[in-house]
Amino acid sequence: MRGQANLIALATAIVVLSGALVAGLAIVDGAFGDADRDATERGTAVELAETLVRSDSSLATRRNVLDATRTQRFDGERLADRYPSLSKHDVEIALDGDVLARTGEGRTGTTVRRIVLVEERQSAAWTPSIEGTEPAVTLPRRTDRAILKLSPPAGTSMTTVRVDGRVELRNESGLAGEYEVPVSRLTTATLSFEADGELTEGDVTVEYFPTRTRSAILEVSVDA
Amino acid sequence: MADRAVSAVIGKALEASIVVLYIGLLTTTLYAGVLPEYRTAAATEVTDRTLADASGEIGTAIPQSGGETTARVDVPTTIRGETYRLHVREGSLVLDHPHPTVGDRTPLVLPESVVSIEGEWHSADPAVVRVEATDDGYAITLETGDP
Repeated sequence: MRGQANLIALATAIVVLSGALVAGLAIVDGAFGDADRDATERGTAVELAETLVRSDSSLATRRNVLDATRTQRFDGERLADRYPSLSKHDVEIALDGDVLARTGEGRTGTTVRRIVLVEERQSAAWTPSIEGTEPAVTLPRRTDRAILKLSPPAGTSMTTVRVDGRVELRNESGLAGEYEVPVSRLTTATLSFEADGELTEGDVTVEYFPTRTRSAILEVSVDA
Repeated sequence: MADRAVSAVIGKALEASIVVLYIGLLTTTLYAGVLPEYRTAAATEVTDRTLADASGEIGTAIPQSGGETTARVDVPTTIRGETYRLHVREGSLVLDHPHPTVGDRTPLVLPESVVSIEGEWHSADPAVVRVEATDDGYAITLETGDP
């Protein structure tokens, strides 16, 4: 009788042990499910974001600086052509919430965000007040180039135009008309003119291209 | 009296054999049914991670402007106990593994300045990525050896 009571105890113990094992396996299954991080989706999204902000990307002017006009013209179809290996993925690229390109349904899968600068170039016209035969003026804003319209009065010929001390245009018989000169982007440029007569306001007009920069968030979503 | 003693011994022997049988059954079930699945699940995660890291390091190796760079890439030597291969096919980085259920591919997103990518890596050999500037753009080669 005692031996059989032991057997019953053993059987109970075995049943309890099996139950504990099953519970343990269920927990392990749950843990594996939670560990799913979609590393490849995230890796692809990071690489795509990195490609867009590289200095040689078609959207960027410098590293991490995107050009506002080029982002507005960014073509979603070009995305599918450029990366045929992404054709089976749903990709969405958005800048500050505005969708730039999308294949498939967007905003699913893993999203990666980057802070970028968006640069917008505007055009400004400026007529500097100049007087004398060798006036010098400084541009109000930084720009990378300037278009000068030179129209000296009759009888006066402008011989030299210097940008930051460096001779940019020179013609002994007189400069007149429209000229585009490159300008250092790093400082506001000083233009100095040399003429053989008096120059007044209106003889020179300058069109320059200052930039306005703002920060924005670039979001890239990839769904495998 | 003797009968009682014998039945105790038989009883204990029975219990011991039941326990041994149970342990044997459990071990067989676990190793044959459950364990291979878990090893494959872990291998799949490691594969995904390896592919993401390797493609990221290829992208990082491309310089912003001109020049040639060589960079070492670290990949795990074995996945699920076996060595494997990494190569590029149709714009994706593919991981070839001897086990039928392990293996994956990830699309390679490379800038337009890259014109070609070729070569392969074996997980047992040190992996190196070499980027050279050619007339049309960058050429990427996956090779083994020292950078």
